[in-house]
Amino acid sequence: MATEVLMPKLGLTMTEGTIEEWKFKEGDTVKKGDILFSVATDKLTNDVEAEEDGVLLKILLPEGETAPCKSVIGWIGAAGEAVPDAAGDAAPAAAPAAAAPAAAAAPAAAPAAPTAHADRPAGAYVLATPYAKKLAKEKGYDLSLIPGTGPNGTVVAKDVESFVAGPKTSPMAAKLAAELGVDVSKLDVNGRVMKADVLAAAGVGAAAPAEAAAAESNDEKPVKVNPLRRSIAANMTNSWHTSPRVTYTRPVDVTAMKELRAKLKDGLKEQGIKLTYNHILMKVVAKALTEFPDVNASFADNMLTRHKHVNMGLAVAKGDGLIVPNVKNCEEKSLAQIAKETEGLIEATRSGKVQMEDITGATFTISSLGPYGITNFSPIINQPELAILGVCDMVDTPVVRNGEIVIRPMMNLCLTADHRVIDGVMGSKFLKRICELLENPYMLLV
Amino acid sequence: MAATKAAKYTKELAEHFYETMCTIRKFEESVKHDFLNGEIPGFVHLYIGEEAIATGVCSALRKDDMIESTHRGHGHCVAKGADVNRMMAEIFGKKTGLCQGRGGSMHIADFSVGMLGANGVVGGGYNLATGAALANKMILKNDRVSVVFFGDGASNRGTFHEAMNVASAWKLPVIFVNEMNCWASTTPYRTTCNVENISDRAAGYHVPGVIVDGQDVFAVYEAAKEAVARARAGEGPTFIEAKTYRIEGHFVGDPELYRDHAETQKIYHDTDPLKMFRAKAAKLKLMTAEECDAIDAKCEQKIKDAKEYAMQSEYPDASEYMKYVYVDD
Amino acid sequence: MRKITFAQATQEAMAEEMEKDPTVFAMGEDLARQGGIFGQFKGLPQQFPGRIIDTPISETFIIGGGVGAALAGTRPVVDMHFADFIGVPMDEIFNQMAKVRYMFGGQAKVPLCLRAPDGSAGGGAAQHSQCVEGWFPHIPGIKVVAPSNPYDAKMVLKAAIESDDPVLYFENKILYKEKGEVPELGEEEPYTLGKARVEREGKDVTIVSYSIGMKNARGAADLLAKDGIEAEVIDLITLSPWDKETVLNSVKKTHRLCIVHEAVKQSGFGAEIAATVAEEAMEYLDAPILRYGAPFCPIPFAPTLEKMVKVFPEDLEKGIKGMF
Repeated sequence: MATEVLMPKLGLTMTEGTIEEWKFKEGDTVKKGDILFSVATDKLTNDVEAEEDGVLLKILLPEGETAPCKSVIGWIGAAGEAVPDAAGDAAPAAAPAAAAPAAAAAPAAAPAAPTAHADRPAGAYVLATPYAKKLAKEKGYDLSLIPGTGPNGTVVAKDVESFVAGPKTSPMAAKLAAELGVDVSKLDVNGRVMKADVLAAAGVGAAAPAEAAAAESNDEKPVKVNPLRRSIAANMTNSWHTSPRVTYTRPVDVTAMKELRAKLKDGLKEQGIKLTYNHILMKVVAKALTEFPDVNASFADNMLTRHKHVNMGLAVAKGDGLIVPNVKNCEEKSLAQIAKETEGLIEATRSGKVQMEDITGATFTISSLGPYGITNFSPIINQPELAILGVCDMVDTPVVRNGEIVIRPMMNLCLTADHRVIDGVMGSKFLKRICELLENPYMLLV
Repeated sequence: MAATKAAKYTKELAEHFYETMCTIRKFEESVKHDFLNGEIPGFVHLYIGEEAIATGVCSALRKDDMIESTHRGHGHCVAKGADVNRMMAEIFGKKTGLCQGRGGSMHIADFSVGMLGANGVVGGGYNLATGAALANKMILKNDRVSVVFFGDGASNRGTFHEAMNVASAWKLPVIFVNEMNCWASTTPYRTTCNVENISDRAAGYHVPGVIVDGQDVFAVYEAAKEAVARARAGEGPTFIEAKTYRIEGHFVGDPELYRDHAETQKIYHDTDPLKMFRAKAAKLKLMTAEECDAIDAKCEQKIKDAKEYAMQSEYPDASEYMKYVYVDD
Repeated sequence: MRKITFAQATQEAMAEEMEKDPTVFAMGEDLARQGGIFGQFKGLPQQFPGRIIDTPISETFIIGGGVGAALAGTRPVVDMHFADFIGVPMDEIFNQMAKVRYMFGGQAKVPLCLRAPDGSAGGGAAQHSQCVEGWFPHIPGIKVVAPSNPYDAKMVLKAAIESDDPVLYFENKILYKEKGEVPELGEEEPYTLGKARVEREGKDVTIVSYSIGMKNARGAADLLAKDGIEAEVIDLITLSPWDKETVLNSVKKTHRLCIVHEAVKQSGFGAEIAATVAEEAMEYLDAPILRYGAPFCPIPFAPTLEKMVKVFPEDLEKGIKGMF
């Protein structure tokens, strides 16, 4: 009997996943433990192993398509074994998605914009005329990948007939080609046209297809954003509506911090560790947080949870998005450990290999825009945390020391704090404490 | 009423009267028995006690004359000369039945003897008989006569009016034979009609209305003969009201909650047309009791044979259920 | 080719059939002295004395008597005056006319033609304007025809009279006066009951209609042609038994189906066509089936209201364009 391949649920917050790549094609033999497919969630990409030996009988969810967790996306079984068709399974599989929390369901409920298949809600029934279905079946096309131009975006016969008239194209490539207006039949490709070929033809980097689409095309047709962007959008909106926030800005003299780094970095470099100001900031803020338990906390339903450890989140740009991995138990760790772990996390994040536990459970976040010359900003709290520290550029500034004007490297720190828990005095004291520690790093030893 | 003198009747006619009535009686008794035994599908309506009417009327007709019958049509069918074997086979739904198992009791017909069909719709026969009369007289220009049998209940249908009016207006050769058996299904005639004799209505169409004793086959025959003569002479329709009584329930299995069983049995005892025939035939010295007994036995056997014929026959080929919807089928 | 009106075409058919077969006769109200209230029997009473018969206003007799006459061996043509009155002799149609052959095991045949003038002709209102042809294809044992032009009017009527099965012949009152080409006697093609005609070939959409609905079908096809949409127009001619093959084959070619009739849309004959195509050619459809018919409303009297229950070619044009 054939076994279902399910969309995995990788972590508590995952509600849906997008197939990035099937590592096998229909008809291929797979062994238990083989990497069967990779799935993109709202935060990262994971490889998923086959749970059975057998033949990959059917792929129900093509590359680039999204489905709710636990829905059936394929079948593994004995060669030649019959499997239920996609339509028969889509309905029950979709049911749990409907019961998912409202925030998670929001992306799926995005309004169905008129015609393009890209605007179909994930996992939605594909409106297609009976004749279009017949043609698609005959040609072996996956109907869900074909843009519909009929009423309400219905796929009609001519859509099928005009679909992929050229070389064999991967579903993802076909989808992108439709979005970017790339004529795949004109591509000079050996064998199958892949996603990269289409992106190259469109002159865009793989990271930013949506932007490229907008730039390439004169019309302003909305395009579907990737799961990461959808997640960011949902989280930022949620935070904006959840936390009444105040941003406190305070300049700090980073002369001592610079000296500290200068003194330590070469030694650490020999150990293969690259020390940055962020690492020092993380160490400093972790120390301060142990002194302000109400800041290293989360708040929900009028219940305050003070966290025992500081899991220091660091906002990391990834492609056209942002991910926040965190260093666990940061308050217990040495600067070297923090530096080492942080760099590893950043690399894993940017390469999409970061593990789910590394990007969940943060208790506080640091976001640095210093390298971009930013001197003041108001970061948004990463829920369910209560505060976030914005780090600005270091600027040599004339300041008065002991009645004399001197030039000092000054840096603004912008603390956004949730006023439900952190009042102005506490916020200010906390920020002041960070500054003291930065200006007098020996206090870290106390 | 013309006097029934022996000289008017041959022995053959008398024997025909009795054999016909007796055949109907035995046929109906057999059907009743088999229906109660669950051997016959659907439902059946019996003619017991009314045999003299069909017999008297049809004895006055030629084979090429046409009759329209009712849901209580076995008697008309026998009297018009249909083969009882094939009648019985039809009632059992067999392939050898007159209608090849498509009609059953309520829709039995034998076009070969001018029996144009029983009719499941009460009052459905008037216009068919009148139309046939119109065709024969005005288009085909022959002297065939049509007869429509109908009960007292059917006389209240609007179709009665339309047919009587046209038949009279164009002096069509159609005879309206009302079997006044006092019951419209479960409803006594006079509770739904304020006319004592249904034939009173004939005057309203300038049609002769005749009342006869429906239990007396001689009287019915005389009235029919006269009506047939008028019709063939181009003098138009006649309305014959034959007074009778429905001895059986409306259908076999009718609990008859609406009437007294003893009273019905008394009427049957007193007016049984077969008994009345024996008395009259003896009086007119047409037939002896022994001769009548012999016919009884003959008919008994004839119906046994008919039942046997029906039993031996096959049901229609199920795959032919669509046959006869259209001419090309 | 000579052009005659629809009414004249039916007169020719009657005359030719009455000439050929002396058992053919007609009866109904106002036929002999008046020549039919729409003049459709004009000249026949003089040509065939005694065979065009004025009846009393007795619809059950007209139909029931016609069935009896047919059983007696004649070939009656009975006229319903207005199709609206067909409810009166309904028992005679569906329990007698339609059933006698079957229930008597093939002993009977009913070579009867029932003519029923139908449709809204301006001010007839609720009881003199209806199209009721859709009631009858539900009844096994009778055939139903509704020609759309003079040539068909003649050949279909001849076929109906010659048929040994009962045929209901619906003739539209507006069409009576319309002229069309009809070949001379002897040069016509006989009509076989049950055959539809592809009147105009096209590849983009199939429009099916009959009787006066064909004016809408043709009109819409002309309008669509201006925009390059090639409509295939099918005149059904016979509604029972109807020519499924012709319709299905066309839909399999065009992948779109539009049905139009003047009769009320709900449960109209178009529903049967649509359902059959959905059953037997679903996977060939590239757009939902379109149906046009009167709204679910009696025919009103005032011209301003009567117009509202009618269908126009522009309605079809708009709907069909929405299929692409």
